[in-house]
Amino acid sequence: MIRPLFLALALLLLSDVAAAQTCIVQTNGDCMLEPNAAQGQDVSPYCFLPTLARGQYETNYAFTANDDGVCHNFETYLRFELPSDLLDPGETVITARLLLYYAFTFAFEGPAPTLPHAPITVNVHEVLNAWTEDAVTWANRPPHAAAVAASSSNITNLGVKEFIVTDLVAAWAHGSKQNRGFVVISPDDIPFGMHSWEADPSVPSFQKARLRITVGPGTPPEPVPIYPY
Amino acid sequence: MSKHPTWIGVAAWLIACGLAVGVRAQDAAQPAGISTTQDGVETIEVHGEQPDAPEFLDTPLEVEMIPEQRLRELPARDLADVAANLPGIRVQRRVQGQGSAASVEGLPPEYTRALVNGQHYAGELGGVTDLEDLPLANASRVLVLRGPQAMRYGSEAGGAVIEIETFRPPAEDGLRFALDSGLGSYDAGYASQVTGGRVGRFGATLTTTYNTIDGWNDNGSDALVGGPGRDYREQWQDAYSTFEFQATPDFLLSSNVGWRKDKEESEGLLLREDGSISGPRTTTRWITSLGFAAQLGENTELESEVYRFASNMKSAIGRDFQLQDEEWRYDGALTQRFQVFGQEPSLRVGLDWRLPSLDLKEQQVATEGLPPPPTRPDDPSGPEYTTERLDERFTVAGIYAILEAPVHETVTFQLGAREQFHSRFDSEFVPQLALLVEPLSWLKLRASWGKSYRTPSLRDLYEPPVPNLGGAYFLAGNPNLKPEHAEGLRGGVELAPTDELWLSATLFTNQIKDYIRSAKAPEQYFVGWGWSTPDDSYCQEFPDDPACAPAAIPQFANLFQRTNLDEVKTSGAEANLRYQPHPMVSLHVGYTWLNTWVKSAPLPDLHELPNEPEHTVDLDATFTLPRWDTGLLVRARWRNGALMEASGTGSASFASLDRSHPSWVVGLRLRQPIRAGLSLYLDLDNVTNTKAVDSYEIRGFNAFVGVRYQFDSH
Repeated sequence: MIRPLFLALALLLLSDVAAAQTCIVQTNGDCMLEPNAAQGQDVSPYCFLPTLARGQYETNYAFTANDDGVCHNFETYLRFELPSDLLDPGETVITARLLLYYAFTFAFEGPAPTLPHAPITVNVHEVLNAWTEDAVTWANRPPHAAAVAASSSNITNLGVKEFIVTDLVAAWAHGSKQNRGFVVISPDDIPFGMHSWEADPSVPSFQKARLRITVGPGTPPEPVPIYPY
Repeated sequence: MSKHPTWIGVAAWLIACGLAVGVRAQDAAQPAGISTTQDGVETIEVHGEQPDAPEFLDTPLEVEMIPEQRLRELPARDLADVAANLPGIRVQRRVQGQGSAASVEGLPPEYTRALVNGQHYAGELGGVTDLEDLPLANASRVLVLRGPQAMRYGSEAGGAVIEIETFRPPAEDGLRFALDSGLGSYDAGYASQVTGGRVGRFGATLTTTYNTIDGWNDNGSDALVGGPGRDYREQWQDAYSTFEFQATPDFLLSSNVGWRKDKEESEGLLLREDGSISGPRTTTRWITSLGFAAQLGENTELESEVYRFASNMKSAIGRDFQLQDEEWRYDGALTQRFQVFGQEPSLRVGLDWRLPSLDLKEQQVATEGLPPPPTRPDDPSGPEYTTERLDERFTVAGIYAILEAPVHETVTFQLGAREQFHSRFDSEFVPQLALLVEPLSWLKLRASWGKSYRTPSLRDLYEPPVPNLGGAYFLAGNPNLKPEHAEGLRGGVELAPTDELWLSATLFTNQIKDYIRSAKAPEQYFVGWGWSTPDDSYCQEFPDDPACAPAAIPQFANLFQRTNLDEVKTSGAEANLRYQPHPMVSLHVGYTWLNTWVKSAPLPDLHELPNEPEHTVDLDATFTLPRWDTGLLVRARWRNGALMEASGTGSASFASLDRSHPSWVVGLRLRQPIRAGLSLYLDLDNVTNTKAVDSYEIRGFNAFVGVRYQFDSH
């Protein structure tokens, strides 16, 4: 029994190594992470089909639509593998921006919302347990922190949306927290639709989820307890 | 009217009852419809003391017959109202426009053929017929044939046939007519007239019907498919006539002509790609037929008929298109009876030939792939559209032979075989076998087995993407479909131990291979352009980021395409108990046990069909009050929970793993004769105000009050 578990762990480790990515250095020196399907983990489980594994789907969504008592909610789980050489000694994360591209929307019942639509809010939380995109379903999705790590409200139209997630990424980068990724949740019923990293290559990478990190001199954040506390 | 229908109905009822006092029962109890019955008094006796109940005909194949008297007692104005409480039959709303698609014994609605006088009457050729489109005003009886019926009705009649037989012209010179009209909740209006006459050897009937009703709003239930909205309105007009000419005692020439117009309007559901409201959808349909029946000898009959169906749908829902369904059909059959060892077997040899065609004119994006994007956010120019035309047709033919042979006083078997030919698909041999054993005068045993072969319809193959649920997803045909193969086996017992008691029980099992249903297509359907607006804070800081450039972003909807994916099995039992403890009281209990199994590769967790409850109980009771001759029919259906689905297509691909709540639906008709030929009725539907059945919200409590009058020159 021990042997298969060891092999599985070794394979998981190797796959993580293989998926590790490097920064795309921006003109101002920022590190931009634009994972492809092999490098990033993303999945958008669907409450209506609670055992459906959507890890290889080309679309991600965030919205809450259960007014009539039937759950049609989607949440989107994202995990970027931070480069091992992200920080030099004496450096820390000054700013980390999660960039989500709102690419499409629709309506469950009745006409699709006309753009620009009524304002919606999208929240980003820290995920607390390990997960893989091919295993996550609505029924077994990992828990997330109750606190909102970043939020954007007043979203009325398509395009790139910025979420400041500096503290979380800094903790991951310094190893004071394990990187379990983000979960994107919207309390509104207008679907916030995104292309997943599995989307067709014709979809530009900037229209998929990205992480832009600004690093600079600084001290690591205070260590925090690791979940479960 | 819609706000106070109940009070108006009650008031009308009280007035009617007042008028009815003193009217002799035999004057009041006129037959409810026009029939060839000659003597009104005799009809009164049948009505008052011996209610005409549904029964199984003395045939090897199970044929349930619902007589005219019973149809008039039911709160029914179309075939859907009749089927609503028949064991083994489920009627469901579908978002493709059907108000009542009929699924029999768990089989898909495509396996149910709904006919009028043996002819396709309305709806998609080779597809699902909406039972609401078959009016009941001129029905003399309704036949329900469960199980494979491929011999007589074509290889695709794999599940059941529900047929209205309309009344024929009177046997003698004279004129009869009936009027029926009323108003009800949801701004419902209904009016029909039925006229039949004969002059010498020429007889004719003409039926005209008008019906209109509004939709209903979501009622807050947890059903997955909500109401169409109060601003939805459907109305139809229907005219149907039959002609007979008895050229000689042995030669009858007959013809039918029908016209129908359906109109659906809704401000809430109709949407163009650019977001503007559009509509309505109208369908105009013509049917014509010409045929003859000739007695070629004492034991030989020849029947022949040419039939044409033409339907023209104009829709602006989602996009503008015009869809014309047309079919030419020929049916011919020779029936020969023999005398063999004191028995009279009969052999029917037939030929049928069909030429369905589909002619579609629709607007499509003029360019290959995505149309050019707009140049700026306020660019008013949308994609450039061009009108494309699709013209497809195929030929279907079949030859069949049916031997019905009584081999003993108590045993009759029926053996049938059909060879089905198709211009696009391989030919197929379709056999059928049925057996009737009557060991005792009060006992009948039946068994039947048959195959069927359903080729994809033209719409299954070629229909362009059609928006559903307001454009949330699109459904399209698939030219690469294969035919479905189905097989059914059933066996049953029928008992009538006393004059007052009748029981039946039937076990059945059905299997479909290569079941055609909708599955998500690999590509999505382009519905228009959206325009991005850069994030203010981020793009002010990083204006060079490519995401910060305003861009037109194509918007897509999920596209579902018909696909051969599933294997479906259904099995179960149907039971009936009919008891008449008193000439004025009749009771019926029906029970259906249904087990479905589905193999669906994309949904491995799905093991049963949606909307198919395991247990269904039907109850009805008919009472006649002796003093006023008031008739009351109460009926109810209970069903337990079933898997729900979100699309309204009834398709496994849309199933969820949630289950619906059990439901009761109760309705009644109160009928009060006023004077000779004149009666008033009050229908109360869904009196328990049940919000949902299976996945669908249903119309809440509603009332309808109507008046019926008939005249007979005899």
